[in-house]
Amino acid sequence: MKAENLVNVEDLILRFYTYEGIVEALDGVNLHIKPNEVLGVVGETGCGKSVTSLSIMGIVMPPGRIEGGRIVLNLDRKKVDILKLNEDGLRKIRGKDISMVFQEPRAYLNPVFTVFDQISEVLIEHRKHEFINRALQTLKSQQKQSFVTRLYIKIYKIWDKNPNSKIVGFLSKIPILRRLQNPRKRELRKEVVSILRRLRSADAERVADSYPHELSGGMAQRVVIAMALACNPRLLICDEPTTNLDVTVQAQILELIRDLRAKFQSAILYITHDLGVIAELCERVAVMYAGNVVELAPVIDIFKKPLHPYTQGLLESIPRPGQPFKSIPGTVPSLINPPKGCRFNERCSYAMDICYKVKPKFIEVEKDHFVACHLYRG
Amino acid sequence: MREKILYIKRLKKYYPVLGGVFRRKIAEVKAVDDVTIDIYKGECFGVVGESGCGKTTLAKTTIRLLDPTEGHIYFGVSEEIVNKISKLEQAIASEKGVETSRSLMSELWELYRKYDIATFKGSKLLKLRREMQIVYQDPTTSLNPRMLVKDIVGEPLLIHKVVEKREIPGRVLEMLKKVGLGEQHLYRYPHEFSGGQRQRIAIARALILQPKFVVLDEPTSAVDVSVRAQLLELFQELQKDMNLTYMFITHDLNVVECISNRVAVMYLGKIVELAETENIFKEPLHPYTQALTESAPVPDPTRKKLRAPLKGEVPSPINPPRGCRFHPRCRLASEICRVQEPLLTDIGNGHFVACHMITK
Amino acid sequence: MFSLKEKVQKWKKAHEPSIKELKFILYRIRKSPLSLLGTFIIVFYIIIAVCAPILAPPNPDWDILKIRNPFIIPDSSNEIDPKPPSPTHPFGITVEGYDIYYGCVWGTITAFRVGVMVIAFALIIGILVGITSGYYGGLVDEILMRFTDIIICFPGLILAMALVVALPPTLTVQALAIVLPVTVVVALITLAKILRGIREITQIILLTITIALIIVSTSMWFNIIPNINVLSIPLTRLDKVLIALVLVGWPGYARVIRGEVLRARSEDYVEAAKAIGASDLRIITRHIIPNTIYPILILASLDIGSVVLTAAALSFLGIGAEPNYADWGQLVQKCEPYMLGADIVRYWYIWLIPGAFIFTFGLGWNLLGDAVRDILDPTLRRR
Repeated sequence: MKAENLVNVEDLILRFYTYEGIVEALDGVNLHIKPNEVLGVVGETGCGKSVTSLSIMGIVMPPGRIEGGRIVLNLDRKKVDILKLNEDGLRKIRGKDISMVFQEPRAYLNPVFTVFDQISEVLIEHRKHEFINRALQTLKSQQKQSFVTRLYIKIYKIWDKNPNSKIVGFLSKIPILRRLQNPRKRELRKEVVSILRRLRSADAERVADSYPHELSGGMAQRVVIAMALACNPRLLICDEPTTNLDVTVQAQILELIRDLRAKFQSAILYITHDLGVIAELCERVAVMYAGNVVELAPVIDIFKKPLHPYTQGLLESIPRPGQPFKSIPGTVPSLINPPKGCRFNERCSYAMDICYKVKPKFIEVEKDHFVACHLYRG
Repeated sequence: MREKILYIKRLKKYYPVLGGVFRRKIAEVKAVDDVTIDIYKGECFGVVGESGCGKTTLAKTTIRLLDPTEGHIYFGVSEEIVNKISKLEQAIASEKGVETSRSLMSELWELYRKYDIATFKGSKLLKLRREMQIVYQDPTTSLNPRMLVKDIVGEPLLIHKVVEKREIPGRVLEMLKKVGLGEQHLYRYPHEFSGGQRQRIAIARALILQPKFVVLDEPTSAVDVSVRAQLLELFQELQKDMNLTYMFITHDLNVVECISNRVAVMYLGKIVELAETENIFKEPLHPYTQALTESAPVPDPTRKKLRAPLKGEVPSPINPPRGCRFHPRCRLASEICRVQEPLLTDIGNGHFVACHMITK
Repeated sequence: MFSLKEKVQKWKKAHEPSIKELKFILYRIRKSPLSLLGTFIIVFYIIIAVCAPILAPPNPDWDILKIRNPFIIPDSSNEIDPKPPSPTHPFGITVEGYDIYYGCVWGTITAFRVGVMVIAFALIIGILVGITSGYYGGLVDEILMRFTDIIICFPGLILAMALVVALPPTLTVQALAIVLPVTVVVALITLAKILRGIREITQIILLTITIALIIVSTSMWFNIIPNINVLSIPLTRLDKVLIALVLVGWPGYARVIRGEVLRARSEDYVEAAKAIGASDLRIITRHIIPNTIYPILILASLDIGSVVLTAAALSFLGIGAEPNYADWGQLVQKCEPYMLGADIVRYWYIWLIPGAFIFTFGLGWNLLGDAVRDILDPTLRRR
């Protein structure tokens, strides 16, 4: 894998230890995300696309355990192996360098806090210094400096030197002295409202003061995207964010994501099972089946020249008016006792003897077009 | 002329919103607002729309899972009787004298009691359940998690006593085989199956009484793409095999284009366009239908959209906009649209549109 | 028709999923040490209860002629003061000369009896009320729940005490006592059905029955029809405790199951059952009960321990079991004078041993209840 890639996932192995047996959820996943690109991941339920993204974020919960492979994140000058980081290191990355948008937005917004509170929480966590600084500048630039303002300036100067200062932090939490946070709050509010405006939400001020249950699905998803992009992450992972939304709202969100990409320069890992959305949004596509990436190619190649039989089957099963329905025979195999060799062998019309014995390697068959299939072994 | 199996006339379903100290009705959610549809025997009638448009409420009210607020539904009634009823209604509306009116009224009410399923209660309603059935969207929640498959599918037979008790297992197995499952699935619980298989169990349960009319409420939305094609194929087979009429509810335009004969597009409780499937997709006339068809992502990377066709969000059905309900988001909106509600008009070729700008 | 082997195979296949569930439950019990402990404690007590006649024979001479109520503790000494443990009396002798060992062994049976019977009856009443209230809703729900609220408002122990004192020594069930509740229940059901707006033959029949019952009840009340004594049951003091605890305990279950029924009522499969034409009764018994009863069972198993504690408290206060009855709480009843100051250490066996029995019994049920909850909670499963 080339070094310029933003994220390199190599041979990732993930197992779930359950009562019924060991679920081989990921069986050597290979993936790479280039900076600033939109990579789509498409696959059916149980293929492992969600757990792959969770592994990149480092939030795999027991009974799941990562048992092999590497995930390397290339940040400017540093290379970070996510699997080797401890919780502190992961926390520094999450939200700042990698952030995630989930399927049901209202499930991931705290129902007792307003939108403003939640977005500013993200901002404070990762851009603390910036807002203290900004508050300080605003205070200094005020023409009439009352006694209170001068007092604030003194305090904020201390805070500016040391954003993690415990004294100021403690003082600002005492009920009467909460007002110490006001200048910073004002700056945060300006930022939150401008983010919401950029997200095309009507009446940004009102949305900022709303609670999550007062928002519609599309609006809530926009808020979650705002929170995810608040700190300008390098990688934005979207796990089926528009599946629950109406088709017209979905079109709006996709338009939004496209526009934001230009402004924010983030790479996007977009997980979905909707091939239409993949065609609309993505530049490259990874197709997953039963815990493996079976094909990875630019979007045009995937649709016009699919190489892996599963990809071909998937494209053929899209219903077309006037034509009989075609589907892939059989069902997804159980991952507790997965078939030997290529996991697609039972359902593949091109299966050969070797497909039942040896697992195909993930190799570059054409330029930038990777397949894991014995039909293309050199 | 093809035979019609279902007549829905001016159906309304309103939900009261209670509020205030005394929990009085302060507003109404007009989930279904004056819908009239005729469905032919043996067709697949598609209903599309986005969340809040009332399509699920329409389906459930049609099969009397919900009680209509107003309106009439005639199921399995001949066209003459339906015409007779509507002539009576017109006569009463234009009648001046009270005497003749009263006798006509009582005649009309007799007919309603006999044929209008909106008035059915008790055992009449129970008999109706054998003819009209429903398949739900989410097979995980629509199957009792603590019942075995054989009991789930056999329950309708037990309730309606159509066969001897000892014949029930045989019938159940027969039905399971028809939907693509087998004997090994009888003694299992729903959670042991995949989404597609669960949906098949739900289909078996709905069809075991051999109904004539089946409502399919987004049956393919909760399953994967490859399973979707299998289920659609199954629906078509079963329709041919068992002479069924479908009302297919969905928000997925691709699916409805492939499986239905006619399509109705709903917005905020009203039908805005109704036509043969081919016509509606070849030439959508209503601005909302156009926005829907343009918004749907196409699995072809060479045809990318630049702008979302429709701005804004669906307004709440409690307080729909005055006049044409779509006018705040419509690119063709003009003065008349803000004031007057457009009627669903026939513009020929079985194509109906409710829009002032189009029907001019 | 089928041979025995075939029949067994058929039964096995039909119950295959239940057998799998059972195996999973046993696996989970094995995994959690606390639930194992709870299980062992309860099994231990069950063994004691079953072997009571052997462990503490009521009839030391095994003389059939001297048959006596095994639950009365035999008088072992003529002195009032308690005596410490000795080879003949392993746990010592309590005040007024009653053998503690005998009392504890037979007290186990009493404890199970109290715990299981109270919970069983409270469950039955609570479930009936809760399901009716939750499923039918509306006015019926309001009436039943307000009635439940009234009972909950009373402090449990105090209400139990009052009931124990107020209940008569013989329960004479007059005909009215049976006819009146039946009338109320039928009236409520008729009310529920009528409010739903279905007018049919069934409703007319129900209405007629209700009116007939009301006429019969009123005339019995005013003695137009003689109010005969249908039953006369003598109540021991312990029976009164049981009845009081049942009456105090059922509202909790009614509330919980009403909540569960409200949740289950809005599930898709209930609506699907309506769509295939299932009657209310069928929906309640086949669809709602199996899916709502588990939280109650968990509560019930936790409650058995606390019921026994409450019964012991009542016995200690003197309004529980009769004197000399084999009941753990009763054993501690007369001990007050011997628990002051230094005596409490000197006469440790009169309060520590029965107390340990009460404590471990309650602990065992609590652990078992926790284990049951952990096993049945679907979100914690499959780990």
